[in-house]
Amino acid sequence: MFGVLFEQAADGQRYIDWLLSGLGWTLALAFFGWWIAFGIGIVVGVGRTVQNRFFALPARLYVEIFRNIPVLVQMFLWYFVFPEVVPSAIGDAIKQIPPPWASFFPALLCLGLYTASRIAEQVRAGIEALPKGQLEAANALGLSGYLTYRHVIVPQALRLIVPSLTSEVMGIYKNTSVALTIGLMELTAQARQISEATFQTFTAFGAATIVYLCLALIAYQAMALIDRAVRIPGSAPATLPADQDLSGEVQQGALPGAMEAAK
Amino acid sequence: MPQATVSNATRPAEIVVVENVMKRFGAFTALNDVTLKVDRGEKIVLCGPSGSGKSTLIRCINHIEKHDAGRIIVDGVELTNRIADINSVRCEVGMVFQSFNLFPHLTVAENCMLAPIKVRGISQSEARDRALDLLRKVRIQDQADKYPAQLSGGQQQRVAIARALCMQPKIMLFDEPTSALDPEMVKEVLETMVELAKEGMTMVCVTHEMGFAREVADRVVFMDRGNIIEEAEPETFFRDPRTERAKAFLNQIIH
Repeated sequence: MFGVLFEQAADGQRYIDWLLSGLGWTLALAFFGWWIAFGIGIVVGVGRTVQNRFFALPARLYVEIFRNIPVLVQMFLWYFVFPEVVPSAIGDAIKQIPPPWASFFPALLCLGLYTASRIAEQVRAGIEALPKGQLEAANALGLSGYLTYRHVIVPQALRLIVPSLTSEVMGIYKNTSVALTIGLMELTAQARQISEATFQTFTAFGAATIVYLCLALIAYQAMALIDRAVRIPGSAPATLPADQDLSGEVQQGALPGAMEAAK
Repeated sequence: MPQATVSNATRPAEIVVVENVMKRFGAFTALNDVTLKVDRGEKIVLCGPSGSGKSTLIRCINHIEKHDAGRIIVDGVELTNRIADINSVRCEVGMVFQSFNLFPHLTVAENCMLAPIKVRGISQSEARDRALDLLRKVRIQDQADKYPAQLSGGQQQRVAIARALCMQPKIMLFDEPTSALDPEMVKEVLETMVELAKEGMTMVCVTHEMGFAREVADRVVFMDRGNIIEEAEPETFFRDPRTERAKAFLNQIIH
Protein backbone atom coordinates (compact mmCIF):
# COMPACT_ATOMS: atom_id res chain seq x y z
CA MET A 1 0.00 0.00 0.00
CA PHE A 2 2.79 2.40 0.88
CA GLY A 3 4.90 1.21 -2.07
CA VAL A 4 4.30 4.45 -3.91
CA LEU A 5 6.29 6.29 -1.26
CA PHE A 6 9.45 4.61 -2.47
CA GLU A 7 8.97 5.67 -6.09
CA GLN A 8 11.00 8.48 -7.49
CA ALA A 9 9.44 11.92 -7.64
CA ALA A 10 9.95 14.52 -10.33
CA ASP A 11 12.82 16.15 -8.41
CA GLY A 12 14.84 12.92 -8.29
CA GLN A 13 14.10 12.21 -4.61
CA ARG A 14 11.75 9.51 -3.43
CA TYR A 15 8.40 10.53 -1.94
CA ILE A 16 9.44 9.09 1.39
CA ASP A 17 12.28 11.61 1.43
CA TRP A 18 9.72 14.38 1.10
CA LEU A 19 7.87 12.95 4.04
CA LEU A 20 11.05 12.68 6.13
CA SER A 21 12.04 16.22 5.28
CA GLY A 22 8.56 17.30 6.42
CA LEU A 23 9.01 15.31 9.62
CA GLY A 24 12.30 17.13 10.19
CA TRP A 25 10.61 20.54 10.03
CA THR A 26 7.77 19.36 12.23
CA LEU A 27 10.18 18.10 14.87
CA ALA A 28 12.38 21.18 14.70
CA LEU A 29 9.38 23.45 15.07
CA ALA A 30 7.92 21.45 17.97
CA PHE A 31 11.27 21.03 19.76
CA PHE A 32 12.50 24.61 19.66
CA GLY A 33 8.97 25.95 20.08
CA TRP A 34 8.62 23.87 23.22
CA TRP A 35 11.66 25.36 24.90
CA ILE A 36 10.51 28.89 24.08
CA ALA A 37 7.06 28.00 25.43
CA PHE A 38 8.43 26.32 28.56
CA GLY A 39 10.73 29.21 29.42
CA ILE A 40 8.17 31.95 28.88
CA GLY A 41 5.42 29.80 30.38
CA ILE A 42 7.26 29.46 33.69
CA VAL A 43 8.02 33.17 33.90
CA VAL A 44 4.46 34.20 33.02
CA GLY A 45 2.94 31.51 35.23
CA VAL A 46 4.97 32.75 38.18
CA GLY A 47 3.94 36.30 37.30
CA ARG A 48 0.31 35.25 37.56
CA THR A 49 0.81 34.26 41.21
CA VAL A 50 2.82 37.16 42.64
CA GLN A 51 1.27 39.97 44.66
CA ASN A 52 3.14 42.68 42.78
CA ARG A 53 0.79 44.15 40.16
CA PHE A 54 3.74 45.31 38.10
CA PHE A 55 4.32 41.62 37.26
CA ALA A 56 0.87 40.18 37.71
CA LEU A 57 -0.94 42.48 35.28
CA PRO A 58 1.32 41.99 32.23
CA ALA A 59 1.30 38.24 32.93
CA ARG A 60 -2.48 38.20 32.97
CA LEU A 61 -2.61 40.25 29.79
CA TYR A 62 -0.17 37.91 28.08
CA VAL A 63 -2.24 34.85 28.89
CA GLU A 64 -5.52 36.43 27.86
CA ILE A 65 -4.16 37.60 24.53
CA PHE A 66 -2.20 34.58 23.41
CA ARG A 67 -4.59 31.94 24.70
CA ASN A 68 -7.70 33.47 23.22
CA ILE A 69 -6.67 34.10 19.62
CA PRO A 70 -6.89 31.05 17.32
CA VAL A 71 -3.50 29.59 16.40
CA LEU A 72 -4.24 30.03 12.71
CA VAL A 73 -4.93 33.73 13.15
CA GLN A 74 -1.77 34.13 15.24
CA MET A 75 0.17 32.38 12.49
CA PHE A 76 -1.11 34.90 9.94
CA LEU A 77 -0.46 37.80 12.28
CA TRP A 78 3.20 36.89 12.69
CA TYR A 79 3.71 36.09 9.02
CA PHE A 80 1.70 38.78 7.21
CA VAL A 81 1.00 41.55 9.71
CA PHE A 82 4.05 41.69 11.94
CA PRO A 83 6.51 42.76 9.18
CA GLU A 84 4.12 45.58 8.24
CA VAL A 85 3.65 47.06 11.72
CA VAL A 86 7.31 47.19 12.77
CA PRO A 87 9.52 50.07 11.50
CA SER A 88 9.98 49.59 7.77
CA ALA A 89 13.73 48.93 8.01
CA ILE A 90 13.09 45.93 10.24
CA GLY A 91 10.07 44.89 8.20
CA ASP A 92 12.13 44.92 5.00
CA ALA A 93 14.86 42.89 6.68
CA ILE A 94 12.29 40.30 7.73
CA LYS A 95 10.99 40.10 4.17
CA GLN A 96 14.54 39.45 2.92
CA ILE A 97 14.78 36.18 4.90
CA PRO A 98 15.14 33.30 2.38
CA PRO A 99 12.24 30.84 1.91
CA PRO A 100 12.20 28.03 4.46
CA TRP A 101 13.30 30.34 7.27
CA ALA A 102 10.87 33.08 6.29
CA SER A 103 8.07 30.67 7.26
CA PHE A 104 9.93 28.82 9.99
CA PHE A 105 10.67 31.76 12.28
CA PRO A 106 7.15 33.22 12.32
CA ALA A 107 5.78 29.71 12.91
CA LEU A 108 8.27 29.13 15.71
CA LEU A 109 7.38 32.43 17.34
CA CYS A 110 3.67 31.79 16.96
CA LEU A 111 3.68 28.28 18.43
CA GLY A 112 6.16 29.17 21.16
CA LEU A 113 4.21 32.18 22.37
CA TYR A 114 0.82 30.49 22.06
CA THR A 115 1.88 27.35 23.92
CA ALA A 116 3.60 29.50 26.54
CA SER A 117 0.25 31.03 27.49
CA ARG A 118 -1.18 27.55 28.04
CA ILE A 119 1.84 26.37 30.02
CA ALA A 120 1.65 29.53 32.11
CA GLU A 121 -1.82 28.57 33.26
CA GLN A 122 -0.64 25.08 34.16
CA VAL A 123 2.28 26.51 36.12
CA ARG A 124 -0.08 28.86 37.93
CA ALA A 125 -2.39 25.96 38.82
CA GLY A 126 0.60 23.97 40.07
CA ILE A 127 1.80 26.84 42.24
CA GLU A 128 -1.65 27.44 43.67
CA ALA A 129 -2.01 23.76 44.52
CA LEU A 130 1.02 23.83 46.85
CA PRO A 131 0.33 24.00 50.60
CA LYS A 132 0.63 27.53 51.98
CA GLY A 133 3.07 26.26 54.58
CA GLN A 134 5.78 25.91 51.94
CA LEU A 135 5.78 29.64 51.27
CA GLU A 136 5.62 30.39 55.00
CA ALA A 137 8.52 28.09 55.79
CA ALA A 138 10.62 29.67 53.05
CA ASN A 139 9.71 33.15 54.31
CA ALA A 140 10.52 32.17 57.87
CA LEU A 141 14.01 31.09 56.78
CA GLY A 142 14.62 34.55 55.33
CA LEU A 143 14.55 33.47 51.67
CA SER A 144 13.69 36.35 49.37
CA GLY A 145 10.74 36.15 47.00
CA TYR A 146 13.00 35.20 44.10
CA LEU A 147 14.85 32.52 46.06
CA THR A 148 11.57 31.11 47.35
CA TYR A 149 10.20 30.71 43.84
CA ARG A 150 13.49 29.48 42.45
CA HIS A 151 14.25 26.81 45.05
CA VAL A 152 10.97 25.98 46.78
CA ILE A 153 7.85 26.85 44.79
CA VAL A 154 8.68 26.31 41.12
CA PRO A 155 10.52 22.97 41.50
CA GLN A 156 7.52 21.53 43.32
CA ALA A 157 4.92 23.07 41.02
CA LEU A 158 6.66 21.71 37.91
CA ARG A 159 6.73 18.20 39.34
CA LEU A 160 3.04 18.48 40.04
CA ILE A 161 2.13 19.44 36.48
CA VAL A 162 4.24 16.95 34.51
CA PRO A 163 1.15 14.83 33.65
CA SER A 164 -0.80 17.82 32.39
CA LEU A 165 2.22 19.17 30.51
CA THR A 166 2.05 15.98 28.46
CA SER A 167 -0.96 17.36 26.63
CA GLU A 168 0.90 20.60 25.96
CA VAL A 169 3.74 18.63 24.37
CA MET A 170 1.16 16.85 22.22
CA GLY A 171 -0.50 20.17 21.50
CA ILE A 172 2.55 21.96 20.21
CA TYR A 173 3.61 19.25 17.81
CA LYS A 174 0.10 18.81 16.46
CA ASN A 175 -0.23 22.56 16.00
CA THR A 176 2.93 22.56 13.87
CA SER A 177 0.67 21.45 11.02
CA VAL A 178 -0.87 24.93 11.01
CA ALA A 179 2.48 26.21 9.73
CA LEU A 180 1.63 24.82 6.28
CA THR A 181 -0.70 27.79 5.85
CA ILE A 182 2.28 30.14 5.78
CA GLY A 183 4.22 27.90 3.44
CA LEU A 184 6.40 25.80 5.72
CA MET A 185 6.87 22.37 4.14
CA GLU A 186 6.32 20.39 7.30
CA LEU A 187 4.81 16.91 7.54
CA THR A 188 1.23 17.75 6.58
CA ALA A 189 2.33 20.02 3.76
CA GLN A 190 4.57 17.28 2.37
CA ALA A 191 1.75 14.75 2.62
CA ARG A 192 -0.46 17.08 0.64
CA GLN A 193 2.27 17.57 -1.94
CA ILE A 194 2.72 13.80 -2.31
CA SER A 195 -1.01 13.41 -2.66
CA GLU A 196 -1.08 16.00 -5.43
CA ALA A 197 1.87 14.48 -7.26
CA THR A 198 0.75 10.86 -7.07
CA PHE A 199 -3.05 11.13 -6.65
CA GLN A 200 -2.63 8.55 -3.87
CA THR A 201 -4.47 10.63 -1.27
CA PHE A 202 -5.09 7.76 1.11
CA THR A 203 -1.48 6.62 1.09
CA ALA A 204 -0.06 10.10 1.52
CA PHE A 205 -2.22 11.14 4.43
CA GLY A 206 -2.27 7.62 5.86
CA ALA A 207 1.52 7.74 6.13
CA ALA A 208 1.39 11.18 7.75
CA THR A 209 -1.23 9.95 10.21
CA ILE A 210 0.92 7.02 11.26
CA VAL A 211 3.90 9.30 11.76
CA TYR A 212 1.85 11.68 13.91
CA LEU A 213 0.53 8.77 15.98
CA CYS A 214 4.03 7.41 16.54
CA LEU A 215 5.15 10.85 17.68
CA ALA A 216 2.25 10.91 20.13
CA LEU A 217 3.26 7.58 21.61
CA ILE A 218 6.86 8.68 21.94
CA ALA A 219 5.82 11.92 23.62
CA TYR A 220 3.59 10.07 26.09
CA GLN A 221 6.33 7.63 26.97
CA ALA A 222 8.93 10.33 27.31
CA MET A 223 6.73 12.36 29.63
CA ALA A 224 5.95 9.25 31.70
CA LEU A 225 9.69 8.65 32.05
CA ILE A 226 10.25 12.24 33.08
CA ASP A 227 7.41 12.01 35.58
CA ARG A 228 9.04 8.97 37.12
CA ALA A 229 12.51 10.49 37.10
CA VAL A 230 11.52 13.66 38.93
CA ARG A 231 9.13 12.05 41.39
CA ILE A 232 10.02 12.80 44.97
CA PRO A 233 11.17 9.65 46.79
CA GLY A 234 8.72 8.55 49.44
CA SER A 235 5.81 10.44 47.94
CA ALA A 236 2.87 8.50 46.54
CA PRO A 237 2.22 8.70 42.79
CA ALA A 238 -0.24 11.54 42.43
CA THR A 239 -2.72 9.75 40.20
CA LEU A 240 -2.69 6.27 41.72
CA PRO A 241 -4.18 5.11 45.01
CA ALA A 242 -1.46 4.02 47.40
CA ASP A 243 -2.58 0.40 47.63
CA GLN A 244 -2.09 -0.17 43.91
CA ASP A 245 1.66 -0.39 44.30
CA LEU A 246 3.03 -1.31 40.89
CA SER A 247 6.20 -3.01 42.14
CA GLY A 248 7.33 0.28 43.62
CA GLU A 249 9.15 1.45 40.53
CA VAL A 250 6.74 1.35 37.61
CA GLN A 251 4.55 4.38 37.78
CA GLN A 252 2.12 4.43 34.95
CA GLY A 253 -0.24 6.75 36.72
CA ALA A 254 0.78 9.63 34.50
CA LEU A 255 -0.68 7.95 31.43
CA PRO A 256 -4.33 8.45 30.62
CA GLY A 257 -6.49 5.35 30.67
CA ALA A 258 -6.54 4.94 26.91
CA MET A 259 -2.77 4.72 26.80
CA GLU A 260 -2.74 2.18 29.60
CA ALA A 261 -5.07 0.01 27.59
CA ALA A 262 -2.94 0.35 24.48
CA LYS A 263 0.16 -1.05 26.15
CA MET B 1 22.77 42.00 56.04
CA PRO B 2 22.53 45.63 57.03
CA GLN B 3 21.44 46.08 60.60
CA ALA B 4 19.06 48.77 59.51
CA THR B 5 17.85 50.58 62.57
CA VAL B 6 20.38 49.46 65.15
CA SER B 7 22.25 52.64 65.91
CA ASN B 8 23.20 52.58 69.57
CA ALA B 9 25.87 50.36 71.01
CA THR B 10 23.79 49.38 74.00
CA ARG B 11 22.20 46.02 73.62
CA PRO B 12 18.79 45.97 75.27
CA ALA B 13 17.97 43.00 77.46
CA GLU B 14 14.86 42.35 75.41
CA ILE B 15 15.28 40.52 72.14
CA VAL B 16 11.64 40.86 71.21
CA VAL B 17 9.41 43.79 72.06
CA VAL B 18 5.77 43.63 71.09
CA GLU B 19 3.91 46.84 71.90
CA ASN B 20 0.18 47.42 71.62
CA VAL B 21 -0.12 45.15 68.63
CA MET B 22 -3.45 44.75 66.87
CA LYS B 23 -4.29 42.23 64.22
CA ARG B 24 -7.62 41.69 62.53
CA PHE B 25 -8.77 39.11 60.04
CA GLY B 26 -11.80 40.77 58.52
CA ALA B 27 -14.26 41.33 61.34
CA PHE B 28 -12.39 38.98 63.68
CA THR B 29 -9.92 40.55 66.08
CA ALA B 30 -7.07 38.08 66.49
CA LEU B 31 -4.84 40.32 68.60
CA ASN B 32 -6.23 43.14 70.64
CA ASP B 33 -3.60 45.51 72.03
CA VAL B 34 -1.04 42.86 72.96
CA THR B 35 2.19 43.82 74.69
CA LEU B 36 4.91 41.26 75.36
CA LYS B 37 8.62 41.48 76.01
CA VAL B 38 11.00 38.56 75.67
CA ASP B 39 14.43 38.78 77.29
CA ARG B 40 17.51 37.16 75.82
CA GLY B 41 17.71 33.57 76.97
CA GLU B 42 14.16 33.57 78.25
CA LYS B 43 11.80 30.67 77.57
CA ILE B 44 8.16 31.56 77.23
CA VAL B 45 5.25 29.21 76.82
CA LEU B 46 2.17 30.71 75.22
CA CYS B 47 -1.06 28.91 75.89
CA GLY B 48 -4.75 29.49 75.68
CA PRO B 49 -7.86 28.16 74.00
CA SER B 50 -7.98 27.89 70.24
CA GLY B 51 -8.66 31.17 68.53
CA SER B 52 -7.08 33.11 71.38
CA GLY B 53 -4.42 34.59 69.12
CA LYS B 54 -1.33 32.77 70.37
CA SER B 55 -0.30 31.47 66.94
CA THR B 56 -1.06 34.82 65.36
CA LEU B 57 1.16 36.51 67.94
CA ILE B 58 4.24 34.43 67.21
CA ARG B 59 3.56 34.59 63.49
CA CYS B 60 3.65 38.37 63.78
CA ILE B 61 7.07 38.22 65.42
CA ASN B 62 8.67 37.12 62.14
CA HIS B 63 6.17 38.96 59.99
CA ILE B 64 4.57 35.86 58.48
CA GLU B 65 1.45 37.67 59.62
CA LYS B 66 1.47 41.44 59.22
CA HIS B 67 0.30 43.38 62.28
CA ASP B 68 -2.21 46.18 61.70
CA ALA B 69 -1.13 48.51 64.50
CA GLY B 70 1.45 48.75 67.26
CA ARG B 71 5.18 48.07 67.14
CA ILE B 72 7.23 44.90 66.95
CA ILE B 73 10.97 45.18 67.46
CA VAL B 74 13.18 42.12 67.08
CA ASP B 75 16.81 42.39 68.11
CA GLY B 76 16.70 46.13 67.67
CA VAL B 77 15.08 46.11 64.23
CA GLU B 78 11.52 47.33 63.95
CA LEU B 79 9.28 45.36 61.62
CA THR B 80 7.79 47.72 59.10
CA ASN B 81 7.08 47.06 55.47
CA ARG B 82 10.74 47.27 54.52
CA ILE B 83 11.60 43.97 52.88
CA ALA B 84 15.29 44.25 53.84
CA ASP B 85 14.40 44.65 57.52
CA ILE B 86 11.93 41.81 57.41
CA ASN B 87 14.42 39.43 55.81
CA SER B 88 17.19 40.39 58.21
CA VAL B 89 14.85 39.76 61.15
CA ARG B 90 13.76 36.44 59.72
CA CYS B 91 17.38 35.30 59.55
CA GLU B 92 17.65 35.76 63.30
CA VAL B 93 14.31 34.16 64.11
CA GLY B 94 13.90 30.43 63.64
CA MET B 95 10.43 29.02 63.31
CA VAL B 96 9.00 25.54 63.70
CA PHE B 97 5.49 24.90 62.40
CA GLN B 98 2.76 22.54 63.49
CA SER B 99 2.75 20.86 60.08
CA PHE B 100 6.58 20.74 59.77
CA ASN B 101 6.57 22.39 56.32
CA LEU B 102 9.75 20.69 55.20
CA PHE B 103 10.53 21.08 51.52
CA PRO B 104 9.51 17.65 50.16
CA HIS B 105 11.65 17.83 47.01
CA LEU B 106 14.88 18.33 48.95
CA THR B 107 16.69 15.81 51.09
CA VAL B 108 16.89 16.29 54.83
CA ALA B 109 20.40 17.73 54.52
CA GLU B 110 19.40 19.98 51.61
CA ASN B 111 16.46 21.29 53.62
CA CYS B 112 18.96 22.35 56.26
CA MET B 113 21.49 23.75 53.79
CA LEU B 114 19.27 25.83 51.49
CA ALA B 115 18.85 28.99 53.52
CA PRO B 116 22.37 29.06 55.04
CA ILE B 117 23.85 28.88 51.53
CA LYS B 118 21.43 31.20 49.74
CA VAL B 119 20.75 33.71 52.49
CA ARG B 120 23.78 33.59 54.78
CA GLY B 121 26.10 32.95 51.86
CA ILE B 122 28.19 30.22 53.45
CA SER B 123 29.87 27.56 51.32
CA GLN B 124 28.30 24.27 50.34
CA SER B 125 30.71 22.23 52.46
CA GLU B 126 30.40 24.47 55.48
CA ALA B 127 26.62 24.31 55.21
CA ARG B 128 26.71 20.53 54.99
CA ASP B 129 28.98 20.25 58.02
CA ARG B 130 26.68 22.53 59.96
CA ALA B 131 23.60 20.60 58.82
CA LEU B 132 25.09 17.23 59.83
CA ASP B 133 26.17 18.68 63.14
CA LEU B 134 22.69 19.86 63.98
CA LEU B 135 21.08 16.72 62.62
CA ARG B 136 23.31 14.78 64.99
CA LYS B 137 22.12 17.01 67.76
CA VAL B 138 18.49 16.13 67.03
CA ARG B 139 19.63 12.50 66.69
CA ILE B 140 18.73 12.04 63.07
CA GLN B 141 22.07 12.30 61.27
CA ASP B 142 21.73 8.85 59.65
CA GLN B 143 18.66 10.09 57.73
CA ALA B 144 20.48 13.07 56.21
CA ASP B 145 20.15 11.92 52.62
CA LYS B 146 16.57 10.72 52.80
CA TYR B 147 13.58 12.75 51.70
CA PRO B 148 11.07 14.11 54.23
CA ALA B 149 8.28 11.79 53.06
CA GLN B 150 10.47 8.82 54.03
CA LEU B 151 10.58 9.89 57.68
CA SER B 152 8.09 9.63 60.53
CA GLY B 153 6.30 12.70 61.81
CA GLY B 154 8.52 12.99 64.84
CA GLN B 155 11.62 12.71 62.71
CA GLN B 156 10.29 15.32 60.31
CA GLN B 157 9.66 17.75 63.12
CA ARG B 158 13.17 17.24 64.46
CA VAL B 159 14.51 17.94 60.96
CA ALA B 160 12.43 21.11 60.95
CA ILE B 161 14.05 22.13 64.23
CA ALA B 162 17.50 21.41 62.82
CA ARG B 163 16.67 23.36 59.66
CA ALA B 164 15.74 26.41 61.70
CA LEU B 165 18.87 26.06 63.88
CA CYS B 166 21.11 25.95 60.81
CA MET B 167 20.48 29.67 60.37
CA GLN B 168 21.94 30.15 63.85
CA PRO B 169 18.96 32.16 65.01
CA LYS B 170 18.95 34.22 68.17
CA ILE B 171 15.45 33.13 69.05
CA MET B 172 13.28 30.16 68.18
CA LEU B 173 9.51 30.28 67.73
CA PHE B 174 7.50 27.07 68.03
CA ASP B 175 3.94 27.03 66.75
CA GLU B 176 2.29 23.98 68.34
CA PRO B 177 5.21 21.76 67.32
CA THR B 178 3.73 18.55 68.72
CA SER B 179 0.05 18.98 67.88
CA ALA B 180 0.22 17.13 64.57
CA LEU B 181 2.20 14.20 65.98
CA ASP B 182 1.16 10.75 67.09
CA PRO B 183 1.40 10.48 70.87
CA GLU B 184 4.47 8.25 70.84
CA MET B 185 6.38 10.81 68.78
CA VAL B 186 5.61 13.79 70.96
CA LYS B 187 8.26 12.77 73.48
CA GLU B 188 11.17 12.69 71.05
CA VAL B 189 10.36 16.20 69.83
CA LEU B 190 9.89 17.56 73.34
CA GLU B 191 13.20 16.08 74.42
CA THR B 192 14.91 17.92 71.60
CA MET B 193 13.24 21.15 72.64
CA VAL B 194 14.17 20.68 76.29
CA GLU B 195 17.79 20.16 75.28
CA LEU B 196 17.70 23.32 73.21
CA ALA B 197 16.22 25.25 76.12
CA LYS B 198 18.91 23.98 78.49
CA GLU B 199 21.59 25.25 76.11
CA GLY B 200 20.22 28.73 76.64
CA MET B 201 18.27 29.33 73.43
CA THR B 202 15.64 32.03 73.66
CA MET B 203 12.33 30.34 72.93
CA VAL B 204 8.70 31.26 72.51
CA CYS B 205 6.54 28.15 72.31
CA VAL B 206 2.87 27.86 71.62
CA THR B 207 2.10 24.50 73.18
CA HIS B 208 -0.33 22.65 75.39
CA GLU B 209 2.39 20.37 76.70
CA MET B 210 2.22 21.44 80.31
CA GLY B 211 4.99 19.06 81.37
CA PHE B 212 7.28 20.86 78.98
CA ALA B 213 6.13 24.24 80.28
CA ARG B 214 6.86 23.16 83.86
CA GLU B 215 10.29 21.86 82.98
CA VAL B 216 11.71 24.72 80.91
CA ALA B 217 9.51 27.79 80.88
CA ASP B 218 10.56 30.92 82.73
CA ARG B 219 7.13 32.36 82.16
CA VAL B 220 3.75 31.10 81.03
CA VAL B 221 1.67 33.58 79.08
CA PHE B 222 -2.03 32.84 78.93
CA MET B 223 -4.08 34.36 76.13
CA ASP B 224 -7.78 34.58 75.56
CA ARG B 225 -9.69 36.31 72.77
CA GLY B 226 -6.74 38.24 71.49
CA ASN B 227 -5.54 39.46 74.87
CA ILE B 228 -2.83 38.38 77.26
CA ILE B 229 -4.80 37.93 80.45
CA GLU B 230 -2.31 36.23 82.70
CA GLU B 231 1.48 35.95 82.96
CA ALA B 232 3.22 33.97 85.65
CA GLU B 233 5.99 31.50 86.47
CA PRO B 234 4.83 28.02 85.53
CA GLU B 235 4.53 26.72 89.10
CA THR B 236 2.40 29.67 90.15
CA PHE B 237 0.33 29.53 86.99
CA PHE B 238 -0.48 25.86 87.24
CA ARG B 239 -1.00 25.74 90.99
CA ASP B 240 -2.86 28.94 91.40
CA PRO B 241 -4.15 30.66 88.26
CA ARG B 242 -5.59 34.07 88.99
CA THR B 243 -8.27 34.30 86.32
CA GLU B 244 -11.36 32.15 86.01
CA ARG B 245 -10.66 31.74 82.31
CA ALA B 246 -7.24 30.21 82.98
CA LYS B 247 -8.69 27.93 85.66
CA ALA B 248 -11.32 26.63 83.25
CA PHE B 249 -8.69 26.18 80.56
CA LEU B 250 -6.33 24.25 82.83
CA ASN B 251 -9.17 22.03 84.00
CA GLN B 252 -9.93 21.13 80.41
CA ILE B 253 -6.45 20.31 79.24
CA ILE B 254 -5.25 18.41 82.26
CA HIS B 255 -7.83 15.72 81.63
